[in-house]
Amino acid sequence: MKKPTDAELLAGIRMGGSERRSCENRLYEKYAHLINEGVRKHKLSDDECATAYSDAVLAVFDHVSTGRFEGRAELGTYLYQLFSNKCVDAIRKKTTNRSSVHNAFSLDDSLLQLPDAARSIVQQLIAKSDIDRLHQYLYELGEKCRDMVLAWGEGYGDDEIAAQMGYASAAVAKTSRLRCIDKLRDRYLTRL
Amino acid sequence: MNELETIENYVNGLLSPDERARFEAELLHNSALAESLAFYMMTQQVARQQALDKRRAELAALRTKPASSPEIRPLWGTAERFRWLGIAASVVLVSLIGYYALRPSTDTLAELTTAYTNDHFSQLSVTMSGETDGIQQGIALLNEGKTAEADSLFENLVRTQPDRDDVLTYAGIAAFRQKQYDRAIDRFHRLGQLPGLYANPGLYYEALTRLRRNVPNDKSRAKILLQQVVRQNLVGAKEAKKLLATNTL
Repeated sequence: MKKPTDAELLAGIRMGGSERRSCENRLYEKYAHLINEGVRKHKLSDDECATAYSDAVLAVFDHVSTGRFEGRAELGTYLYQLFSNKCVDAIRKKTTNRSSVHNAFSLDDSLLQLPDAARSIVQQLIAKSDIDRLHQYLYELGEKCRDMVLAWGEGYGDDEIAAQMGYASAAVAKTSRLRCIDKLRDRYLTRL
Repeated sequence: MNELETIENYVNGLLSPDERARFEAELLHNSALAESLAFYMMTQQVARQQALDKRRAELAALRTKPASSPEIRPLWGTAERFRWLGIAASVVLVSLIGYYALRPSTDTLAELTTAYTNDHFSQLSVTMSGETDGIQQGIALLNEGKTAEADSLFENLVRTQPDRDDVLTYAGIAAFRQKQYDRAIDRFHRLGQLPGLYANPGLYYEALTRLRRNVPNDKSRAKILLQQVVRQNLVGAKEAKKLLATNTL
């Protein structure tokens, strides 16, 4: 089948819903040759380059769907730049053993919008929380609930979640999603 | 509205300024509410991390899937048939993209946008502002339907007085009425950046123009602008709230 153009892929990702997922996969496949290039250029292993490439592609998905990628650069150039940066990060991680820093749990962007006093309270509460336990409970939440919460975490709107998961409307999907989060909270609080 | 919904509306900037102020005040002495907010934000982040991990695995599987693997063969027919189905799906996809790009403005979002611009951009009050002859003349031209002449006049004023809020407002409106949306967005954007104005409609007008232009990124950018308008209770906050509530942004 003919390779999709960048414009088609971008339009599909911005359209959201199931088209977004399909176009994301096709974008990944279209530029996957960068992995071999990364192996040659950065002397990283194939696995390391594949991980760097996945991270770069995921960043592109995010930038496209949130409007951060405005199309001023060619999509391939933009992805290549991100991929190169991820490869450099991977080299640094290898040489300085700082992987724990890269994996740090960060809520900085979300917290910035809070007023100072509230931010300080919420930050203290998060610092005392058991993030690993929350991860575990989210894994165990039940397939439908987990899929819904993950879609929300990935940035899908309630209208898209409703369309993909067969809910009658965005409002119904929202109610169900909030119930799932509530269920997760109950479980998290009772086990603390 | 339950607690989680209120928290979500707070995080998404959908509470009114009064509701927001009440929420933030309560946050300082209601530890249960603070814990719920912290939990909501942690959950969103944890969900995002798990979603990304899941996507990484899915993407890695795309790469490792051999070209002749049985998994990619259609269970219901031959590879040739699959190819035709793929072509048909592409045609549908392209048609859908075309439809969404060119569709007439009949949804609620478009109706609200059109209603507002019809009300506010069509007949302009000569007493709205503008003490100079140029501005009054431009408004008169707009009200007479001579939008091209008004547009040209306001563009000249923008060149000589680029930081005047009324000049940028009318220049944006004239460009909007001429369907010169790129230029209208630029004028409204510059208006929105002007400091110290008591009432600045720049951000709201820019959002409306982006919704009207509707090229890729416009909706998401408009959403961010509308949320900012609501959060800061700027001109158009009430209407912005309605637009955000349509669930189509």
